Amino acid sequence: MNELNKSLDRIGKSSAPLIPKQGAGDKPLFFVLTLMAFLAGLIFLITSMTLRATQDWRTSLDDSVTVQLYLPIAMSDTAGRVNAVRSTVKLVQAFPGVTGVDPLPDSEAKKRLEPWLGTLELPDDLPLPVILSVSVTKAPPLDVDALKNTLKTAGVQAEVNTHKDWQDSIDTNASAISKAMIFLFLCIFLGGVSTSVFATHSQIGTHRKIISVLTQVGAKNFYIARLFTQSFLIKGLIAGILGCILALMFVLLFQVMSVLSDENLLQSFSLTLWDIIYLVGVAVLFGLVCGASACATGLTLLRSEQRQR
Amino acid sequence: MMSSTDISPTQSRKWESDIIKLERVGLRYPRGAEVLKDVDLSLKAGSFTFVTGISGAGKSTLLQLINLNLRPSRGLVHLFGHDTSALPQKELLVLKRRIGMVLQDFRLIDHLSVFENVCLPLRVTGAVREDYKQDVLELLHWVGLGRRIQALPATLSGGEKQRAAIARAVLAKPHILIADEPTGNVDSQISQRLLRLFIELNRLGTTIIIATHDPNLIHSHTADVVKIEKGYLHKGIGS
Repeated sequence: MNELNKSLDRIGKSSAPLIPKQGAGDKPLFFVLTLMAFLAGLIFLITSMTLRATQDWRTSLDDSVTVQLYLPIAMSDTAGRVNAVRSTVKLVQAFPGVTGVDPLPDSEAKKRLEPWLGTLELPDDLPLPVILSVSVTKAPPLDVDALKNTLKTAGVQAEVNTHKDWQDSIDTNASAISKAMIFLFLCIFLGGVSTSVFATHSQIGTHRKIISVLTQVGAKNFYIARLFTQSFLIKGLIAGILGCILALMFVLLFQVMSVLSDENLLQSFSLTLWDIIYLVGVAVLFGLVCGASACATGLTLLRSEQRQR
Repeated sequence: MMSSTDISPTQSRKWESDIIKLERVGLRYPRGAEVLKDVDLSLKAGSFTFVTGISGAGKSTLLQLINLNLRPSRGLVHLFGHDTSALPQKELLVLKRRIGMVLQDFRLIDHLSVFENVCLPLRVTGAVREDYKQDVLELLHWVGLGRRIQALPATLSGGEKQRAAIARAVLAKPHILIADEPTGNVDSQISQRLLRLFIELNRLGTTIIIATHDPNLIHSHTADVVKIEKGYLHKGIGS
């Protein structure tokens, strides 16, 4: 009895793992899963930030229209130009739905032509239109045709631009980007699934003797498959979290660099708390997908072997 | 000593008919010759049977059929009064857990200690370790492995491995114990010791089926003997 008690003391409280840890063999698999999670996280963050930025651009365009005022070439005196602009501003300002009219200085107007004319010095007598930035209410929406008619009736030669072409272009590009990113995201998840399936096949092949013993002692297929699933679930979750943290750090580094380099365009891509919350979801989903595909593969293999017997 | 791992003498008596019944069973491996032909076999609960025959005669195949590791190409295998061909996988597993099997190559998991190997049948059912720990230790002491509980299979002798495999097979209190060449890798002294172990288990009510081509083993105990020759089963030889 004494010997039995001694034996009881020698037996640990927890059971040894039925599938031995592979050590070095696990590292390449873990690296591949982490890399995939990194790419999935990066694609998610870039897509989320891009769509939010385009939405912001779109919203900012919704709030304004541009009136291009063409003054007669003959009107070369400054006072005449100022009066013509002032009266047009008054006319537009009085229109229902308009909350403010801001005539842009000539320097700003020239800047807007830079994409077409470059940064060359423009001659002073070049008849550039005066640009009025008009802030409008969303509800009720501005009746653009009525504004055009009002200006025409008042004898003002002007064009009213609602930025619809820009908005359509932004919508088209945003839609194309989001579709491409979703496709890439799915491809990476599919890659994760394929990796798990391949690794499960390999693990089951490697541990065929253990599986045979477990079957011999009456283990259910699900019990055996779970041994592999647990390992993949844990690996997938750790790889998912690590990969997504790396993706987050990459994006943050990119943002810091864009701030330092004073790139205005890049600064408009900003991270929010929701991005980080969803990123945690991506990491968890990645782990679950790896675990589920390993489980499904394990069960399929075990059942097919059972059928062959 | 066998307090909780004890096998009740009445436990295997509830089947009024044969505990194992094979009817015109044939088995052919894929792209191979027919290993078993028209095998009829009936074994009563609590019986002790030797299956003999030359190497490759089909002894292991017959045991694998009884242990539900193989399905017959034709014929019927009845276990505990159930036609196994009509049972779903889930119920086959329940029957399988009532059968213990000791294989010639012991099938011990290399990275697990003797204790961990032996407790596998209970572990896979989800039993709590603390609940079965003492039972497993008692069983290991009973088979003479009390001092080797933490040894890995690679450090065990052939006889010790065999006893560990037997301990694992009987842990879940099986109604049928099948042993394939249990004395194939051990000397005559251990062979006799193992036989005494089987006799003791049989005395406690377990149906024992041992495949062997060792005539000494067969002659050292009075039991039913069936012989497989050219795929056919011949009964009553040498009993």
